[in-house]
Amino acid sequence: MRYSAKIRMAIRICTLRMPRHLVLYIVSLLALSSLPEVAWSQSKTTDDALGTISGFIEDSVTKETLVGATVKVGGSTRGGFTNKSGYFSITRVPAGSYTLTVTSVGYTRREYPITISSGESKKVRISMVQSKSNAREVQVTADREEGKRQVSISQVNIPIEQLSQIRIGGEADIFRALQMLPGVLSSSQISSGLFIRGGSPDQNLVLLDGMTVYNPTHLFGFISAFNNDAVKDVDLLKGGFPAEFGGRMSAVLNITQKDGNRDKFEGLVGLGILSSRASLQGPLGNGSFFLGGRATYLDLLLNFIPEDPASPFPNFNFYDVNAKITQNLSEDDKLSISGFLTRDALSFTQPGLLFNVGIGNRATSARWSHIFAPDLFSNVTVSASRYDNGFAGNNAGFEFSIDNSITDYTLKAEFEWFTAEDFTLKFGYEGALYNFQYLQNTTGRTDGSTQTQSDVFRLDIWDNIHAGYAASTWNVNDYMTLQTGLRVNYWGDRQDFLLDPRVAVRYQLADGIFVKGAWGMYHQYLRLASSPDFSFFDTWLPTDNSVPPGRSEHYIASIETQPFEGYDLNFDVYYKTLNNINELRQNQRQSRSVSVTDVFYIGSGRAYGAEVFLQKKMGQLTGWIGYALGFVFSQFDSVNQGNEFRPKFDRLHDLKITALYKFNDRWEVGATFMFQSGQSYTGATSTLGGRMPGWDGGIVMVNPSQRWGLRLPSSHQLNLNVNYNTTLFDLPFRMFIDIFNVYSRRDIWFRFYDTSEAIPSVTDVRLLPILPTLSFELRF
Amino acid sequence: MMRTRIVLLISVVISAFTVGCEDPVPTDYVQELVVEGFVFVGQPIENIRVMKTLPIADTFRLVDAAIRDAQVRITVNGVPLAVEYVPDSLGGTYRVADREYRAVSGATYNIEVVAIGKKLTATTLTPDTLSWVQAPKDTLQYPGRLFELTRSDSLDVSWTPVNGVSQYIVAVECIDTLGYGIYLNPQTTDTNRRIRDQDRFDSGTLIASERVRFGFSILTRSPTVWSVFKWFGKHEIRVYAGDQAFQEWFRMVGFGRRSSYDYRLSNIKGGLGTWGSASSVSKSAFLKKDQIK
Repeated sequence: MRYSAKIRMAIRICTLRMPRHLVLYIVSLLALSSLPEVAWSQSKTTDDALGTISGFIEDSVTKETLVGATVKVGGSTRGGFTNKSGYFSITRVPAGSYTLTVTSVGYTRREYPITISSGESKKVRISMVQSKSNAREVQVTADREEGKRQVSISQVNIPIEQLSQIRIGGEADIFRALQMLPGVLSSSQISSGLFIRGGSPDQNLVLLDGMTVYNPTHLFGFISAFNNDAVKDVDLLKGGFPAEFGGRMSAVLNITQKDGNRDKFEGLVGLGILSSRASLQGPLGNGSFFLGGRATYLDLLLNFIPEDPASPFPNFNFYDVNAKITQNLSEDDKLSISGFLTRDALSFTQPGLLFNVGIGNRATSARWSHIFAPDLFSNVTVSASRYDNGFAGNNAGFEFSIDNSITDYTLKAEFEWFTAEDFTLKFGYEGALYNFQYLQNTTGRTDGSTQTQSDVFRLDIWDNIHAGYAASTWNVNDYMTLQTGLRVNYWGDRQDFLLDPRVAVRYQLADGIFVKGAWGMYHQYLRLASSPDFSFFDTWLPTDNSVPPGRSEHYIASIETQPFEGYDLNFDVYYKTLNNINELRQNQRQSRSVSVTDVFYIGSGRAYGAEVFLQKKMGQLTGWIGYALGFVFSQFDSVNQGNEFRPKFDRLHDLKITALYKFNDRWEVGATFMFQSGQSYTGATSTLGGRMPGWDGGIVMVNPSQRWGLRLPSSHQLNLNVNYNTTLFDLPFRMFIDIFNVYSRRDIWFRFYDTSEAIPSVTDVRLLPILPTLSFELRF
Repeated sequence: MMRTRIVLLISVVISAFTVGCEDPVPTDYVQELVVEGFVFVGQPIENIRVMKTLPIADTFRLVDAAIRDAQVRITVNGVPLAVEYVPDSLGGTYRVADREYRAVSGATYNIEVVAIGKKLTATTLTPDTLSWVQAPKDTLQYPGRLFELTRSDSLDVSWTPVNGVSQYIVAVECIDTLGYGIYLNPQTTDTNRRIRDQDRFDSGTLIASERVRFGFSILTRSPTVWSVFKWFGKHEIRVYAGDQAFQEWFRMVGFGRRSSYDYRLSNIKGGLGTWGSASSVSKSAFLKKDQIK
């Protein structure tokens, strides 16, 4: 009754002349605050004879918990699915004997008999056996069950086995694989930055076991810093993400590391052209551990190439380490400690010039998972994450250095309350203490000998942000699920309270056909000063009082179906507004900037488009076909003379195809193909001269036309992979033959006007030609 | 039959994408008005070049770009200054006609240029003056090849700060690229030459022959940056405290040497170029050869 009254009040408010955003806030708030009442009113009718079934679903061999597994109570409509910790809970189960049907993609369906008494809460731990790859039926069932229970709009979950098959230069790379999804673009083929539905990489929240990763790349953005061997699950939410995630405007990439094999020791060594890798996992105490790492040996290879002493090669190397320890403290308590370390180092020496560059991430988290009650699950995560970069140089005796870092100390408390079979409530708190440091020493000496406080520019900013959220998932009936959420943000320095309401709905039109919709508001606190092509001296900055907060709204509609057995088909349309976004200033007001407006132009943008995604997750043939049609626009008062323009990464058409065919236990063949509209570039209409005082001739410049107003030729590329499985010293051994850019189409990386000569010439810098590689992997 | 149709359809779609998405490189010429002028505190206002942009396919020559009949108006704090055209071999420049006039600090200088059917305007506020705290020594000894990155204090200079200037421009100009021994005591017949390590920096570019090199400092002092020298011999070392337009022009032209003009780095309205101002100090210095053959 009260619920109806609130809805009526909301409708009445909507009829008033109020700002649209305010109305949406109020409607969302009322809806959210009402839903627990509905749940509570239902729970009051609960009979004591009803019981609860909860527990974990895990892999039978490694004992890794499984994410997204579906559990169904036989002979009823009750069921659930496992969360990121592999936990599920099904409440209000009448006393009796049942068969639980457990399905998970890649595993054989498991029938698990169970008897539950009146008022009993029964915990189970169900092991799942990995299926043969052609177990088509298993996958179909699993997907259907999961689809019935989750709204998960614009969410892509690709099995890690498939992600590992997408390799560039022999290196399996999560980001490269994600770039093969429709609507996920890059600034170029050599950049692993993810531009998702018109959003730039800094607008993506990248989480690894709950830790924020600020620069997830190696080789200045060429490959991602995540070692596939260490990853258990990858979720990409391209938009419309729920209230449990915040702080970013565009997308969420949520990566879960492997816990490690609880049953036996297991190892892996891999040898590739760019790097080698190794990992070890096994039981430890009452749990497990995982330790993995990668390192490049480019610097060693360069030693074998003759070089000109006057123009020597730069020295470069990188490494990364993933570590995780998981301990079951009791039946209801689990503690996981994760660590992530990356480092890239570049040094360059030539006559009169020397510089060293260092870039890296250091992150660690401790997560305590506790089951308060069978229907109340919690995760408390304490994490610290630091990204730093810097360089030190010596130009003919003049020493200089810049060091820059962002560090966060974060506390997250997340609760998942399975209040009723048809109602789940998630709520929690997230607080972060940020430290931004910047040190610029251009005094000519970096040994501290003659520095004074005023000579060295130093920024040391501390700020804190806090957020509380609540999100409910309500299965209104057998056909409809409603997800509402509200995230309340508080930004310390600005003393701002910002509200992020989110709503998503899923409706089953017919058997196997779902219509979904989502709307949400998203605020972003952090701003990134970076180049779109290279991740070199990325500098994260807070949103201070000099600029308004970044804000976006997502509008998404989607249809999901399975046109054929084993095939998932998604069709999404979206519209996204981007307000108060930033672009790096060219005319810095201060060389020693102290406010965000000194660093950025502030503008706005919008993106809209449609995506089609046909995916086959299991069987001899797996892969997907994706097509996206996208439009992105930006407008800054100080850029392009105030006119709207389409950013460099905008591509109208985006077609991606991946396929992996397993011939038998020994041979697998894979291919990826992408076709995209050409990248934008800026043309020119005339030339002019420019001279400094005292110059006789000067330089020649071209006068640019509409910013990014022209398109390069279309990009397309085919890559092939062949995997051969055999044994070496009786150990599983794999050979990978990869051919990058099979027909050696050298797409244009960028086009510029070469004005070093008196007549400017259009010059194209092209990308890599065909590149075959051979790599190996040995498991023990 | 059906298969053929499908293949045909796919081929047409792919062809449409591949052919239809590329834009040809534009060659259309859009003529724009350009001004390039600086007001130096304590000096006459001169060497203002008024130009038009030229077609991309043509060789860029100042003499072709120069506009000789532009209407140029300059005011200081709203008071007009008469301007005259002065011909030279590069197409001529404009200057304040009163040759006794010296630009003053803290004054607002406006320029308005009308030519080729367009009008541009710009404003600059001249910075306060600066002076040496530690001027360059009269004679500097080049340290040798720069492989060793040897540091020497012999070129340390410093100057007084100027309000509102966040970045100082340091210029090193070789006064005589030919004569060397004539400046020594006793004189010799030794001729000047380029510094070997520096040959490659400008090699093959339009500014390879420029005698002035620029650097910047965000502090009011600068230690030795030996790589700024291209020649040995007689030099003039200058420090500019420029307004924002001057600094941004340096960012685009002097330091950045950009191949594409950036509107964000210009204060001109209705056209292209710059109208900046600066105070400066200068001193001559002689750079002795390192004796490495």
